[in-house]
Order: sequence, then C-alpha cells, then structure tokens
Amino acid sequence: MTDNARLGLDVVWLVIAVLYLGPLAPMLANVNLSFGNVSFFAAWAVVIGPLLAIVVFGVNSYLRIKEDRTRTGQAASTGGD
Amino acid sequence: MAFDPVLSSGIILAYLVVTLGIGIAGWRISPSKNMEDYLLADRAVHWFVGFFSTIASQFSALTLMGFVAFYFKFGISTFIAITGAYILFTSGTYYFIGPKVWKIGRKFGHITPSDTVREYYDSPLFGYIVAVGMILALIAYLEVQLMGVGILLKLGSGGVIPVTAGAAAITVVIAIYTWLGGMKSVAWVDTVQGVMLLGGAVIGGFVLLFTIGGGFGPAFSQIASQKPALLQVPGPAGVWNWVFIATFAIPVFLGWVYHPHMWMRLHYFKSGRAVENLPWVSGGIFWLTQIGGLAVVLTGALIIPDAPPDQFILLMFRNYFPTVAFALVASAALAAIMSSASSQCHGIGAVAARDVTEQIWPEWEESKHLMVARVTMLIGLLGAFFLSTLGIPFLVTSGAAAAAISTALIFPQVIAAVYGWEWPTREGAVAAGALGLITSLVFLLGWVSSPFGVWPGFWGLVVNVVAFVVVSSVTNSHPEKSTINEWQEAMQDSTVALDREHRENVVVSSDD
Repeated sequence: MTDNARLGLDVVWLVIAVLYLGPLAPMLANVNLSFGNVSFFAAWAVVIGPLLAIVVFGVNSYLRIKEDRTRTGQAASTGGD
Repeated sequence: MAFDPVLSSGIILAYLVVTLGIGIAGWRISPSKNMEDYLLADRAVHWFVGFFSTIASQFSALTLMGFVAFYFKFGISTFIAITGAYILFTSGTYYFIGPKVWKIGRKFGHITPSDTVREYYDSPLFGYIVAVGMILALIAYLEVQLMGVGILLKLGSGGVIPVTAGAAAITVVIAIYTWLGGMKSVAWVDTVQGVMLLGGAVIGGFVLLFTIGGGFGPAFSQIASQKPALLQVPGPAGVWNWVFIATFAIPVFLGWVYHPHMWMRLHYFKSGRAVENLPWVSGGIFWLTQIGGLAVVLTGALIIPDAPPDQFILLMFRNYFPTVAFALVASAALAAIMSSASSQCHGIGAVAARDVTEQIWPEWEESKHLMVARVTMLIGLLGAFFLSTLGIPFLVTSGAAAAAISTALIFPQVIAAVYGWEWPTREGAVAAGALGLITSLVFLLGWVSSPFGVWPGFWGLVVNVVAFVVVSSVTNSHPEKSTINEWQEAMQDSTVALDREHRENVVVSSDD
C-alpha cells in the first residue's frame, strides 16, 4: 500500500466525518431530496454515511493485507522469514 | 400475543446453564498456564472467535436496550451520535492504530493501555494513574451491565425470577467461568453470545418491521407524518443539536477502544491480518445490529409511544413475538450483557495484576500475580453488583461517562506514542492525563455545569490535549530515540514474521 493510497483513504475518512457530524453536517440535513418515502437526510444518516465509512475501512484492509503478503514473501525470499 | 412467563423464564435459565457449560469447557480443554494465557489466551485467538469476542464485549446492555432507548426517545440525532460515531471513531480507531498496536504488543509483550504509555514515556507514575482511572471507569461501566440484567429479568420472566436473585445468579455464573478460564472461557462464551445477539437484533428487528410496520418505506412515512421530529436534528426534546452530537460522539466513541478489556482484544489475535480486518468487520456488525434496533423503533414508536425508553425494545418483542422467540431474543440481550460484564471484570483483574502488582513487586512468582488478577476480577464484579442494586435512572449514563474518562485520560498520549512523535514529554503526558481525568470527573459528576451547550464529558479531552501540548513545550523529558526507533521498526515488520518471532521467544523462555 503506497503512502499516497493511505493518505487518500485518510482524507476520504475525514471528509465523511466532516459531512456526517462535523461542521458541514447541517448542510446535508437541509437537502430537499427523497428516495421514495425516505428523505435524503434520513438515508444519508442511517445508510449512506455509515456504509461509505465501512467501505473505506474495507479497501484499506484489503490494501494493507496485500502489502503484508508482499513483505512476508520478500522476507522469505531473502531468508529472513 | 399471549406471554407465558414460566416458559420464558425456563428458556432464560436454560441459556444460563449452557453459558456456564461453554465457559467451563473453555477452561477444561486448555487450562491457563500463566498470566499471558489467562489475560490474552496466549495471543493465539482464532480470527472468528476474536471478531465475535471483540464485538460481543462491546455490545452490552447499551446495545439493545440503552441505544435503542435513545433512538426511541430522541430519534435520528442519536443514531448519528451513536451508530455513525461508533463507525467513524471506534472502528476508525481500529483503522488508524489497531494494526500498529498489535505489532508493538507482539514485539514488546504489551497487554494493557498502561503498558503502552508507561514504556513510551518511561513513566511508572503515568502507568499507575492510567490504571486507577481505567479501574474507576470500568466499575461504572460494569455496574450499567448489571442494571440491565434487572430490567431484562423483570420483563423476560414476567416476575417469575426475582430480579435481585436472578442478577445474583448471573453474577455467579460470570464469576465462575471468568475465574476458571480467563480470556479463553470469556472468548468462547462471547463468540456464542455475539452470534446470538447479532441474530436476535437483526432478525427480530426486521421481522417486526416487515410484519407489523409494513416495511421501511411505509414505516418512515408514518413517522414522518405523525412524529416528524424523530427524523430531524435536534430531535423531539430539542437537546441533540449538532454541537451536542459532536461533543458527545467524539469523546465517547474515541474512548471505547481504550478500555482495558477492549485494548487487550487488540493483542489477543493470533493473526495480525485479523486486526487489519477489524475496522470494517466491527463497523459492519455494529451497523447491522443498530439497524435492527432502529427497525423496532420505526415499527413501535407510534404503537407504544409512552413505553419507558430502556424497556421499549423488549416490550415490543414481548408484545408481538411468541414466547419462545421472545425468550430467545431476551437471552440474546442477556448474552450482550454477560459478555460485556465478563470482559470488563476480566479487564479490571488484568489492570490490577499487570499494571499494579507486577510493577510494584516484580519479584513475585507469576502464580501470585495470577491470583491478584482473579481476586480483583471478583471484587470488581461483586462491587458493581452491589452498586447496581442502588439504581441509576438511565442506562447509557455511566457507559458513556466511562468511555469519555478513558479518552480524557489517555487519547493524545497513545496517538503520539503509536505514531512515534518526539515532541511530547513525560511531564506533559502525566500532567495532561491527570488533568483530563480530574476535569472529566468534575463535569460528569455535575460539580461544574458545561457551557456552550457542550456535552460535559467533552471537556476532559480538551483539557488533556491543551495541557499535553503546553506542558510538553516547556519541559524536556522526551521519549528515548531508541524506543521510538524500535517501535517504528516493529511496525514495518510483516505480521507473520512478528508472530513467528514472538512464538520463538516464548519457546526459548520456557526452555530457560
């Protein structure tokens, strides 16, 4: 996992946090859209926001484990592991 | 539906017997050999057991009854402040520092949060302050669990099982399996309980939503037309505005992982890759259980609007499920309470032995420290039981306070240590931790009222951060360069290499 990828995911996490319960959260509470019977704000607060954060964590886990496998392989090939 | 209290009581009692059996089996199959085994199951916990034990330890009386009570009373504002904040900050803590903490622990033998800060800042004093603060926080939190038992038995048995006697029996069951098997028994029992809780909350919630509430869309529409404030910020009571939400969410959900029983679960995984997966697994499962709880609120907020909030979910299940299904859900709620309580009293024992007696009397034989861990675990559990008989009005109060105290005590110090920051000093860490703890207690106990509409538990974190920066800038005892380098090097190792090195060291020391 490159430093840029890690930084990118950290920034996405920060943006979600700021939109979800940080200074920009009231702005989303005033969006006048709906999904069927469900208002945009309710959908964002209950489903979209939390799931976005979970997806960021999932991508991060995938990349870090991939990197760990590479490190383990390198250590084994040099006799270190 | 007609509720049969005798049948329900029988199922709950049978569940208790099964729980005790699993706990004893965990001990019989592999009795604890030493401290590390008793406290961390020899750092060899399988990923599946590890995930569910971690999650079940966090899911407590609050998860089904306390948090749902908040959604029922205050609406979507509290879903943001609890579920969203858990995912962003608690799972977020696993995301930012979880794998680093696992690697440092594997390399240097850490178990508790005190281990981390004591070693980085080379300060036994800070280790003791953190130990005392954590024990205080955990006893308050443990007491909440046992209060939840009272509510659950009252509704679950319809009065057949007397509340005090039932709570005493549950305390005894927890004490037996935690005393005997330590982390192994606790983790085994947690796994079964975690699966039950997840199933009970999600299946129970959705069955109610679709059979009684007509599904998500219709239920939302009804709430939007008849109780619109539940779907808006600041909610019906007008309390949960954005300032209050943020100042509640940040200290409470940043602090959850720093409780000793949760911190120890970062160290007990055999595979570091399981810790890498913990952020999305913990966030995903928490979200699912809370969606189940919210489904019950959407269904029942208009049906029983005057229900006592912390009894609401159980009343809904009892009113609409057959007795057997209700009793299984009630057992799942009991599972949530027992898994947290056993983990918390085990955490108290771990802190007492690891952070107090091992530091003061390192020459003692290990069996003596092990006895300290067991006896303190028992004292903490019994103390919390007696405190719970005194009663507190609202279930979430002590749990949130306990988490906020942890944050105020240790949060910036741990982040600085794990990221290898050189600027903090020992004096800064100790002064900030102590001031953060005192400030938290002063505001949370109501001795000083919180200004600006801020949740009282937020001020401890603010004071800690400010004091940490200011005191560090005028003092000079920075962490040793060698410690910083060794920790950062450990974080660069592969998880497989670190685990192998740890196992080789364990074999060498047993040969000695």
